[in-house]
Amino acid sequence: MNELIQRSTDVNKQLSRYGVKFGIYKNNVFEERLFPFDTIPRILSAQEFAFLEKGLAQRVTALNLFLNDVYGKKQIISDAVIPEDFVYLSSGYLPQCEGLAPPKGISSHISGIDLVQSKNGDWYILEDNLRIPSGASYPLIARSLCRKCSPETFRKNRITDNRNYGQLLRSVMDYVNTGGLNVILTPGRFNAAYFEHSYLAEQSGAVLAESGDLYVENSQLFYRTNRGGERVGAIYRRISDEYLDPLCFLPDSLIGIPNLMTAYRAGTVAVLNAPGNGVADDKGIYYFVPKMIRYYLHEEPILRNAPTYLPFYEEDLRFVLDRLSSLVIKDVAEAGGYGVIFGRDLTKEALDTLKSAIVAEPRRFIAQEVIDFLDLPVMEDNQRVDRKADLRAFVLTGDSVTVWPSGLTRFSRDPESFVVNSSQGGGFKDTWVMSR
Amino acid sequence: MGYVSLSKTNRLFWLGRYSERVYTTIAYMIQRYDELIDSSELFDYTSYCVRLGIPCIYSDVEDFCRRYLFDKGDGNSIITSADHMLGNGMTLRETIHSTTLAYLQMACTAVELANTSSSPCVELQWALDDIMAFRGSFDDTVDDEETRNITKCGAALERLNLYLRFSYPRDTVHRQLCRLVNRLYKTSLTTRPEALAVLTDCLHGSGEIDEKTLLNGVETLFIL
Repeated sequence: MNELIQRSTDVNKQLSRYGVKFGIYKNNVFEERLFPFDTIPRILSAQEFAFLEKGLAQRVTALNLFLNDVYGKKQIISDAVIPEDFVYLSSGYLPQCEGLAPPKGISSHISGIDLVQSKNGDWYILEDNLRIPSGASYPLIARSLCRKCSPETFRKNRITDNRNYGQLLRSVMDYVNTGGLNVILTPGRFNAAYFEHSYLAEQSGAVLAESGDLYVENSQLFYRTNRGGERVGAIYRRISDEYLDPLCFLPDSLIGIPNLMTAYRAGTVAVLNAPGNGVADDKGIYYFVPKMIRYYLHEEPILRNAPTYLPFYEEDLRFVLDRLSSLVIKDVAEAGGYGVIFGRDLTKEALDTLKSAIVAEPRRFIAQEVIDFLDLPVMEDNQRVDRKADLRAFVLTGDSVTVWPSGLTRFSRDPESFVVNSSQGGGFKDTWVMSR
Repeated sequence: MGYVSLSKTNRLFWLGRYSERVYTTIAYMIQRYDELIDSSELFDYTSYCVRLGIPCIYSDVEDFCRRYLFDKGDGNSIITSADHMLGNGMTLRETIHSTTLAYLQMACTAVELANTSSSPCVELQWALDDIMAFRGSFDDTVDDEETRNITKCGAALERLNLYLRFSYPRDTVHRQLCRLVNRLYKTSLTTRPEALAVLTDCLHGSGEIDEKTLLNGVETLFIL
């Protein structure tokens, strides 16, 4: 591995050559930045990955069952496993999706599950991302470039090949395809994850399209070509639910496709991931995922949640208010590392303000124990330093549930910070799964 | 043609135009840089702006060389054209493939490096090499003939436009005109009949057509 680390400059030059970037809006100006890459990989043993694989597949299976249930019969609510408040007050719950059955019964085709490893080696689920989780393209291209720069490293180590993500994605799209093209819908070049959209289109053989390229006619989705319309059978949309169809959601959306939901409702096109998934990856619902696993699968959860308290419950509210300074508080409406507050960083006045906010809107917050993440080594100015890191695992659900044998390891570049998001300056690593 | 949308047709065309514009204008500026070693009076940048049809916002020849090449805030600068070239390429990744797109990325990086170099022509030469490599890779990677011809039509149109603006010799213009018109029929690009008539008349007709009429025909040829 040392040889790979010595080749860091070459690897980063290659990443620059291929334009491996992410976009960010700073003061309302769009900037593209190279995503800082660290060549020291996160290494998962075959045994460790097998454990994670089993736990992740179990979790995503339960989440898919929950989504079908919550927009269908709602047994989990009538059996009082999840309070209805947590479903119907969730910003991710879409009444427009009531009664909708997605093709082949799959709602979350591409799930991004964020995990952290504590210092004692235990893994915890930090959050589920079932809407449009991004990041797979980065370790995917980084692996190819690292192999180019340091072939010896990959000759000497038995690393499971991760370069099949495009084929996995394609097989999921093909499985749910109702007859027609596979399309990846992007909001356009000035989206933060545009590199990923275009790279995944290339890797999966799908057509990259913007909203103007697509139209609905007779409840069917078509791709506009200069030889007429080509029917679309599966659309992997990389835009948020609320912008997807201006006739169904936000009427002023310019990046959506009018009547897409009509086609989806008619069953003529598969939408990946299904609209309405936000109800299942809501930070409040996260608390209930272990209960979902027991309820739907009659199994004990293999992977643990970080210890979480819901101020919605009176008992938890008292506990949270008492121990606020030692907990991490998350605003359920925020994402991307925003709305995460460490009680220990707050002044007495700020703690009091937060307490009042929690009492006023208990459903809006969750509180978690601070997990002391396992630090991972990162090269900085030719020195190894330790930084906080998480792992986003990708779980693809088609004919079967497949956990991609890799993942996006994100790390904080600030030694004091637990926040690893790229939008807040974080970098990334490849994730190696050893084949034995 | 494969599954290429109308908007992609547009981008393929503009990819051709911008790549040609960047290539030709960099090549031109490399020559001017050389002349400027001997005298700053040899290069009439105001006349260059007039011919190109861009506003002359530059205070002197030095300001022109710096801003026309490297000012991202100048919508007519070469670096802005390079950014448009890359932007069109990026939206076509799955059509032209990452290997081809990488040459556009490298050309843009070379232009940016030239901005901070004391010998900018060395880096600018790399940009030209990268665009040439892009053309080769594009030809080699994109299987669909019509797709290739759309981009080549864009490039041929831009070259012809620049040649006419800079009063290149008649036979050079004629050669480019032949290349453009021959490609036209291999694409489904929509043309304006009256503009096409000017071009074909110039190629095959007996009467002389003045440069201004021909330039107007070139500029209004396509409906996109």
